[in-house]
Amino acid sequence: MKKPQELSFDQAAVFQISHAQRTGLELIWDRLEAQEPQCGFGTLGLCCRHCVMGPCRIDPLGDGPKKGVCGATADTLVARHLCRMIAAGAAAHSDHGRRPAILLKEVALGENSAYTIKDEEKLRAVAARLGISPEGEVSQVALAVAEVALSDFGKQDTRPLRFLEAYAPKKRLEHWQKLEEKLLAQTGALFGVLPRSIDREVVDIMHRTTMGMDHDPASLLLQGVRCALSDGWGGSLIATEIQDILFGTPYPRKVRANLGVLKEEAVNIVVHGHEPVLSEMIVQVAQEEELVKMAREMGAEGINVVGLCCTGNEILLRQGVPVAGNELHSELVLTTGLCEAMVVDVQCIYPALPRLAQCFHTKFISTSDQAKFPGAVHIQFFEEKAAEVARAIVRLAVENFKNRDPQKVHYPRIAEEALVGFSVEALLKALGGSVKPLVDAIAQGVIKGVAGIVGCNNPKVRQDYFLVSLCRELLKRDILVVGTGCWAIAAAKAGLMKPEAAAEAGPGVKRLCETLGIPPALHMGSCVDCSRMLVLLGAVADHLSCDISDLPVAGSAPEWTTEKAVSIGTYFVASGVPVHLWPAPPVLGSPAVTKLLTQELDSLLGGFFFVEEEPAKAARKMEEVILARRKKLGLG
Amino acid sequence: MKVLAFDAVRCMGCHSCELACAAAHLDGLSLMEAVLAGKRAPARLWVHPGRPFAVVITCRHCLRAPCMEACAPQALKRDPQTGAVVVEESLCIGCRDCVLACPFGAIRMEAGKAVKCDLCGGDPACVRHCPTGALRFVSPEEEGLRKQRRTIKTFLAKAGRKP
Repeated sequence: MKKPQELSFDQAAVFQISHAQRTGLELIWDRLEAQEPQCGFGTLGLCCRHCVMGPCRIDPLGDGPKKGVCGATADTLVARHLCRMIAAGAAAHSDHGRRPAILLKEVALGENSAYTIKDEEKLRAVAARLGISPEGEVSQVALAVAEVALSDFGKQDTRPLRFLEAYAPKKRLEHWQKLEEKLLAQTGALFGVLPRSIDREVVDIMHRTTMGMDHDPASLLLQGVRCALSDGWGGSLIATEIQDILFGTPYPRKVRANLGVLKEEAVNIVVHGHEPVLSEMIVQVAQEEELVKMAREMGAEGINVVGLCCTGNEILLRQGVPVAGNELHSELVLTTGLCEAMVVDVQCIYPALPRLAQCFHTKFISTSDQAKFPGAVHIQFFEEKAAEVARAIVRLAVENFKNRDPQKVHYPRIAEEALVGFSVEALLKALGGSVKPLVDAIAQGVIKGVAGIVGCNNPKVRQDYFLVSLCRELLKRDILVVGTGCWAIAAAKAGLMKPEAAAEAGPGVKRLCETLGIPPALHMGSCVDCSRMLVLLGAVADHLSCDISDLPVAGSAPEWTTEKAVSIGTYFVASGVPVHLWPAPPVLGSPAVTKLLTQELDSLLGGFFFVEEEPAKAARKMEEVILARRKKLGLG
Repeated sequence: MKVLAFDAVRCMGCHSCELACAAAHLDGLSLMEAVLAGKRAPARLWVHPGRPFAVVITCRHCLRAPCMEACAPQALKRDPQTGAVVVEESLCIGCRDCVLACPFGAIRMEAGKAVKCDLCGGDPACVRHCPTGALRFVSPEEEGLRKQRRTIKTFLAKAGRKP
């Protein structure tokens, strides 16, 4: 068993892991250890289970088979598998986006009265962007926006997504169009880069990667690119924009982050997963007098709703709800013995959680028809009865307060303050209405550029170590850091989202932060909100009449876990941003695909992937990318 | 001295042992580095997909090893620590007598030299990577004692007595 300090960089986590190890509670790190050493074929991407002539695997080193039963080579196997990872990731983000799009339509039509349109200004701005008249009745505008979004999911023509056309910067759009034309002219074969419909690109990949279909690694990867773009400039973007319309665009607010946000004297409800639709309602009803009174009667001081993962990010940004932690905190929060309920919706929810909850009084409540868990209490969520469902959940938690065992309570009183909520709108406001001050700061060399860090914890990497160290390294090099997801929570927990943290940064970032009153690490939202970074990049590119691939920017997913991260990484690369990854994705079994991803994509799309295990080295490489682009722009 | 024990009933035929074996003999490179560098590294044990069971073939490190007896330049030596029969590459002349002498077919030639299991210096990678425990690294004496105990238990249980 490894020492807690080796497993996490977060002192609250270290405290809680020690407790779990002492009391014999099984955690994710124990299960990882039980899985080790992990399969070499899987690590390299050299196994295929797409048909039952297999399973097949390819021997990378010796005299074993070099082809699957169907004849597929290592290159085909690896590309096909990567493509399916992108499809799964894009499907997750986009299916998330579908829900608010349908909800907006229902609200517009008066079919759902549980929700309202909170941000009319954003609605009209989105409409204008989509070429819809922003004037007139709110419900009419909302209906039109929802119709465009829903049509982007399911339309059958081959025109690009309307959201993509409306949001992608001009030069980038031209680049994708020209790339399609160039590939046709050069090869005589049809290659598509611009997504036609969100659902279609996922289905295309499932079709393309089934037995006896596309076997050309480059063709497979380009479809992967197209599908990823349908996520970034489609499904994820729709999720972000419509959630802002329904629940409000985030603006800077102070919150607290880490396990210390749990309150011993209150009913603690942890909301975990990815969507704000239910959690917004839980936050709302938990303030209702009747339920608060009920909690007091149970002997509690009140009801304390806290977030976890990206559901946490959604309500953190919009409601200022404290966040208990990122992905690897999801088990640790249960081991505090303080949770009356953990309520989950979709994505990144370990199936281990209900079993761990059973070691305590905690009710583990699943709510999505798409994510059910053996051992959970299932309270089905219906959007039209949202308040009722939320009340039933909160009531169950309140009633459970009496079952809390004080003997089992053990938690760290650790929480950091953070200034969060930097939507593009909020950033523009901080900048005085235009991206110009940011562009000037870069052009004058006050800061070298901007880096985006996203995504996930992974138990294979010391929790938060890479996320936080990389951020610090970049800040020291005068590179401003923005990001989302589990990185954002890690940075908040590490204190990097306090304006004072600018003192740790290089002189340029420090000066910029002081001028604007912002922290050096900017929380832009949940993982679907990576679309906010695209929109920001687009705004800067259009302001300068250049392409995103000209801008001094770089991205990283340094502790990535999920297929969603592969999709995110790919849409950034495809949008012209070089992306660092750690751990290495399962592609190294094919040197040809590895070369495509790390070199050849650059000439096609102006972005590429690179793998680096050390935070300082990763930061140096990102800085090199940024400096090279500055040079090309003629900036010193 | 421990030996490799193979339990055919537990083997799923996943070939993880082969890959682990090859990866353990990459002169310090990681598996990923070796693949990217296009390095060749044959395994020193082989999973043969027999029906109904797969069979793993590898060196037994025989106590009276025919390969050692056949090796004129005395390139095959006994590692005093692990008891493994190992090839001293600089002495190997590539005569292939050991390949012919081995009754199990556990020695192969690679780049003109004999290549065989070396028990990874006492911690065999194949055993570490076997996901089902089909491959184990055991002392035959302890294994014998374990079986004796199991037999006694069975007898006592049949007689209705607690062991």
